Amino acid sequence: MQKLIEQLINGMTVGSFYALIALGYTMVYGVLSMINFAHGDIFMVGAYFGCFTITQLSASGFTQAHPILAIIFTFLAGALGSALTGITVERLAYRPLRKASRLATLISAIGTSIFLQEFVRLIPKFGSSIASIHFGEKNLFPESWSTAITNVTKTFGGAMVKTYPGVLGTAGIKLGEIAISYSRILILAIAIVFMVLLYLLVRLTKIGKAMRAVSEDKDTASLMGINVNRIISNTFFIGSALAGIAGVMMGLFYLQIRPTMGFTPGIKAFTAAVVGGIGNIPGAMLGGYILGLAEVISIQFLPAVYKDIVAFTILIVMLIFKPTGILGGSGGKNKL
Amino acid sequence: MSKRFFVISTLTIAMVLFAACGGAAPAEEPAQADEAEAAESVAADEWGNIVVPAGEKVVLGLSSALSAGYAAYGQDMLNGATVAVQTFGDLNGWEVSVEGGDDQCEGAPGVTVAEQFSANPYLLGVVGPMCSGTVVPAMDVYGENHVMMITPSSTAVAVTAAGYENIFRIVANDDLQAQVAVDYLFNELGITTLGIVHDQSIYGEGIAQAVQSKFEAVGGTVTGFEGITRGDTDFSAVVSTMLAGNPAAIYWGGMDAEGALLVNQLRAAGFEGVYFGPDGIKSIPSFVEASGGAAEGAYMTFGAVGGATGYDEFLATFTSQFGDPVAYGPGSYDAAMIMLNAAKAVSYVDDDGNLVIPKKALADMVRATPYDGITGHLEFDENGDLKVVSITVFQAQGSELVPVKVYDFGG
Repeated sequence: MQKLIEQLINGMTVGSFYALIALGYTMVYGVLSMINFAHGDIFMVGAYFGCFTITQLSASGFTQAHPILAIIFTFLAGALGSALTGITVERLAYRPLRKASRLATLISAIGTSIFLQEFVRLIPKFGSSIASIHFGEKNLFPESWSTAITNVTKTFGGAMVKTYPGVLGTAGIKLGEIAISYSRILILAIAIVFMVLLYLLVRLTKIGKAMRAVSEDKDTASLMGINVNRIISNTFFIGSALAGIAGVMMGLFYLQIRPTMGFTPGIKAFTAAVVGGIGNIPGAMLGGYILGLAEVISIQFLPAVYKDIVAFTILIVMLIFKPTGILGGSGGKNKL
Repeated sequence: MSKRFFVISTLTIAMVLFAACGGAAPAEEPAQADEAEAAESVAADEWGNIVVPAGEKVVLGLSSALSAGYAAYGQDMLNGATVAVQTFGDLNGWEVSVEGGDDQCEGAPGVTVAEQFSANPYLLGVVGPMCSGTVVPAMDVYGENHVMMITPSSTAVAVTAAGYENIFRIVANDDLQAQVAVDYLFNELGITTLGIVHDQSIYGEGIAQAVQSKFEAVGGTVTGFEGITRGDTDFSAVVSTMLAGNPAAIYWGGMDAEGALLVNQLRAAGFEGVYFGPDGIKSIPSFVEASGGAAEGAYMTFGAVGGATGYDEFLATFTSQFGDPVAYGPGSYDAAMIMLNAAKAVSYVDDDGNLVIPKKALADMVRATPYDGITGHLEFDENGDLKVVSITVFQAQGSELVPVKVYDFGG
């Protein structure tokens, strides 16, 4: 019994990650009818922005003095970094292809995914190349700028694994025999807070109404006076910000980030979005938690190595029998 | 349509079968290649010659993980080889350059790197590959092409078991590492219940199985044996399963990235017992620091400890350029030096002004010459393993790795 409760908590933690990332997939699918395969890497970029921020804050002693504030800044940096990357990607890689076939945007998404991974991996080399641009003997940048550029890019990214400072620690509370670490509680709390906020945004605000309108019928919405491009950018901004928050959470909890870390969570979140109903926000949240719990529970009966197989079997089964997902409508357009 | 489909699929299957057959008979190819080379070379060498014209550089290849998870180890090895080339100087007047190949600690990229290196006519030899999982498929490529290969870090027993005469290892193998681990756990620490986790690789699963069988042979109980996937970050399922068996210690068979996450998650779940791992976790940056403090008190075995002849000079040159060595930097340095010293001994300049290095003579010279390196006295047996090895047990204390016991084998 105790083990079951521990596993349920583990499942909810993992499910929170999947749910937050799945929201980005589902929102983008809702407004654009495309699967943004680069979303997993936007999650990764958020983790890197967060890592950079908290490493600098820890180095200057800020984290020790104001831990809660430091964590908040880290989340902000991750969310903002991801959001800006998201709208840039939309502007450069998806908007020009809006009139093209669906396949073109899909391929563009895959290309963007590879680009983001490699960019983060190679950014130190990029930085040192820029810092050493010279015309003959004379450098383009003054000495201090050159070192600054090289150092910043070297701290930000690179091929090797980066480690978050262990600010969350392994302390926790004990309910009877069950040990729950504070970090798990934090993850669950943050995920639920943001999901509730997003739901309220989409249901109660004007911008949410505009998003729902665009997702139902883009052309009619523009006839109604909605600036469709702006709404799409906003959707990307919000979806990517959520992925960035998930990225920082993953960094704080699992401590290690690497340029390829977005791939598996991205695909699992895509699975979660499909399971819950792609294009449906409550569906994405539900799908994320279902997937997290399913993975964790299946390990009770199968060896741990089958974890991924279980996740993708659920995807395949879902696509075969109910492709619109649990909360998706039967046929027709999903409502966001 | 169906007839065309039938024809195309038959042709495809036929091509695949031919390709499969082509790879299944390696023994015939070297003989044909040798005849061709013998006809061209100045002096006949059973395996052919490496011919480097004047003005070209001799290439020392290095195969390791230069990106992603285990890049801390891989980059360290590249740095060690670079320092070796700097210290050695030129090879009979020819400049030597180090070329790194990124095998990502995987089999398939390792084979690609092996093929690229083998196709390089100025390649002296390869230091590495870093991981046992890379060596096992790649050594067929190196063996067929008779490329000198000295690995300072691949510890799986299979590495020297294939009988290739050009493949050497300058570190103790996993059978010995497992033996040391079991002896230390059972006899020094008095542990009788052990849980084992591995990363499903040739290296990790191999040493985990060795530890399991040896631990049960001395009378201990293995309470659980589970695998995780490399690259994964969430081990909560395995952690719960392991702790349910209530072991006094947990043995991790695998590398630093996952090992750090595992110990962190074990401690967070309330595990207070001993954490023991192999050479794959002997790293301050990527294990001790990456674990967020959870690695405190963890033990690990490691076979290529620096500190012997010439170590201080090496350390001075190394740290001035690259900071502290991580794990296999010193081993990589020794491997490169062995290769360069042997090449200096057997190479000669032919009448056309080319540097000629006979491959078989190079391999024989490496095998026959004992070398006092910075990781100790290195002398090979007929399999390419070291005759005398030592394995040190380290413990993570604070942010340092402190040696606590040394085991010597052979000699």
